Amino acid sequence: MKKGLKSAIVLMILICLAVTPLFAEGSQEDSDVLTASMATDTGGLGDKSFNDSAYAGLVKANTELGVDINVVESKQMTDYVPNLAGLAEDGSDVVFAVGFLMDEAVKEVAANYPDQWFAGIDIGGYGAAPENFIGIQYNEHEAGYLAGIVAGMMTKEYAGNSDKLNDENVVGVVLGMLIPPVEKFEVGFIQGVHYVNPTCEVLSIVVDSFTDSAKGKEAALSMIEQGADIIFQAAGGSGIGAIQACNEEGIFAIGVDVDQNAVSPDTVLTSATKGVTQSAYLVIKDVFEGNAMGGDVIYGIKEDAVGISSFHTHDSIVPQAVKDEVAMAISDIKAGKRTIETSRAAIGR
Amino acid sequence: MNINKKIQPVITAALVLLAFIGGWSVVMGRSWGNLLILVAWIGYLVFDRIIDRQEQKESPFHTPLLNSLMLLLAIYGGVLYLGAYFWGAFLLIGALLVFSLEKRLTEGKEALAESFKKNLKNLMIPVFGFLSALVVGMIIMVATGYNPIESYAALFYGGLVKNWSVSVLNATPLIFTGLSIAFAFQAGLFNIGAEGQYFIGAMVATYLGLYLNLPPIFTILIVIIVAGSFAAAWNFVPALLKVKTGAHEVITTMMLAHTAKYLSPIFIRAFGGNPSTSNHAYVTDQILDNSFLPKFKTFLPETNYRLHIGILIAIAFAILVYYLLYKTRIGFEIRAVGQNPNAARAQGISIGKNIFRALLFSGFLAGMSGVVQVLGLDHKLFLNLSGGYGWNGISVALLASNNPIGVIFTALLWGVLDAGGQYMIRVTDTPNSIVEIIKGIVLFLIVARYIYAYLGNRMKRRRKKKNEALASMGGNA
Repeated sequence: MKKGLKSAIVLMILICLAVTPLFAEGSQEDSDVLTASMATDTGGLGDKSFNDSAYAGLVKANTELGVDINVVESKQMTDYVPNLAGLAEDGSDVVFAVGFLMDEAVKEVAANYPDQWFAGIDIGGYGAAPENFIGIQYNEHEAGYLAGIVAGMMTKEYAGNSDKLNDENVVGVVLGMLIPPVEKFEVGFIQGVHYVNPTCEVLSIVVDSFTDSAKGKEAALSMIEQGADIIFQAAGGSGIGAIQACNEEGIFAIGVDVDQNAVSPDTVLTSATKGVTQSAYLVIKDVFEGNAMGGDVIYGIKEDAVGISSFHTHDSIVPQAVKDEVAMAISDIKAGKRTIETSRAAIGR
Repeated sequence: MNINKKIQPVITAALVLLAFIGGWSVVMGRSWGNLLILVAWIGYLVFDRIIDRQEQKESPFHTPLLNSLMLLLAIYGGVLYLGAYFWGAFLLIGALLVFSLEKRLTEGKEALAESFKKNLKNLMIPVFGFLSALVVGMIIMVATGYNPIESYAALFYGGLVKNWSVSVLNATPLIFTGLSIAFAFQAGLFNIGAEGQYFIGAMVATYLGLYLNLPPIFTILIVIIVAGSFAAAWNFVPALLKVKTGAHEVITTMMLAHTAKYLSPIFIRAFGGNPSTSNHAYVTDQILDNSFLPKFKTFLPETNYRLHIGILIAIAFAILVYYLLYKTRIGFEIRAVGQNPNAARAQGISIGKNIFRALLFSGFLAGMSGVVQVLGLDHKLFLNLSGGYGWNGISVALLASNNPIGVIFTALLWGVLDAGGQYMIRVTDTPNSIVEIIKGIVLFLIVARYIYAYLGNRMKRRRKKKNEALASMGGNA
């Protein structure tokens, strides 16, 4: 009799365990506040460039518009879809996919959650994306071009201005992965360097990762060995390693995406920036005000969304001639007088 | 009616085939497949009755009826539950009740109570380990200033309800790698390189998926067999070295795991996106859609669109591995070699042969993990595709004490923790590392069980020795 009771209790527990999900369904709260969320690329928050600047856009929307924000980090490429779909399922009104590699993932999820907005940073819709998808792209080559002008002039003409610069006419680029936004940075940089300094040698290394700072450091060190005295990094988290290498070896680095001076104030000469923060904020604002529209937006120098950051403490060693050259390039690009190629193939590399 | 004995297996096979076709049709979204299953079921009952009468066995009619009813309830209930139709739980409980009823009718009350007790006892250690890990996690959260109740509520609500489909998706590859490692463990081998076989399976599956253009069911079967065989072959060298030179499989399979892992970027470059249209150097092209595994959504419309039937294949393989290990001669030999090689050799069991069997089949299972992931979920190969399924499989297998059926549940537990952890970081501030900590503690406590046993034995031995010494001293005095 007692045994029967025992097994009955066990059975009851099993039933309770199995059925709990049935009754838990109602516990989700529904709020009227708009929610904006983002899934980072594998670099994650704290990359001090791309993901962080997108997140800053969300934070800005949070403080200025009072929207709820939410962020989830992708540990690997297979996390993209679950993260984006998860954010959509949690009831986010606009979900940001940060990074070109999430291209297919965000479009797949957008098609499956047609009532919510999806925005892709560095991702184009090319007219084939679902209607609820907003593609945001940048003219990285223009920012790279300006950085290239600075690097090309500093490494040769004004090498005497700082003991961080050597006599060799060599600069380097560290690339995360060879995807269009990164390639555009590099290709623009090379063209900028060669515009002011045609004989300069531009080394470049693709490290195949946005997260491996050891690889970024390794790549930078090998270029320093070959005489590079300014290294432009377009490698997300891997690039932090490149900047460290430049710091240790006492040469200049050029940051990417945001003003990376804070990473290493002595080392970072300037940064090739793109206005991820502002554009993310604008998308949220559009959704907030009910003005959002699907389709592609491309931000460039014309929109003042890409460029180079200030020289901070290095301002004194950068001569006026360099600043004039940069200003000239900006006005030329705005006037449409200079075309900058966007692919390695187009410049024969 | 007189049925020749030779026809019996033919009829059985025909009924199984009918049920399989019925099941497949349901999976492909045709609900009349249920009718075929029903026909097969009734056919089985009638057939069983006829044979029974013919052989004049005295077994009562309720045995096949209840057994098959239990099976049907379990399958339907399981599929519904996995597809986030949680009322499937009632069918599962029904299956459990039918099982108990059948046991009670055939073996009596005591046997039923006995088996309940035994199963409960086996469950105690993992359940206790898990609960203690939760308590430790709670202490850590309190100490670091997070709200444990809120976090756990989010963790379990996310993992068990809200993102249940993600839990199931997470569990699917883990079941395969867990089975792979558990199977090798049973033969006393530590296939630490499941990660590598996973990549081989995934690569071959992607390659075949890109080029094989046959009707879906054939494509899927061929991909499973070929890709699985390649993954099995990946373990051939470690098995050979183990048998011929005694080189330890931990080293050899681990080395080959890294080899396979770093082959994948080369493979992806070779089969990457069309350079004229895109620049996806880090992802292969999408495989042809006739090699996609069917989705739950085709027959359960309210399920998440990503959930594929890989989980059903995984469960079927778990049952197959269980059957192989505990109900066949091969399984007996493998276990014998695992438990005591010398005794096995004395019995005339070839150790080398069984090492080969165990390692190759273990490789096949790990390869299946990659196959199912590519065919079912990703439909392409990513550069860093694996979420460490090979390594996590070790935890899953250990946690299940290498029991193939247990692996299903431990893999699901891991899947729930992962999916729930992701949900938790979306709705609370608690960092996801707490989930990893819980997993680590669970594992530690479960593995520590072996330490308890070891210490217990040691203590017993020492006490015995002491007693003997005392006895001999007493004798001298």
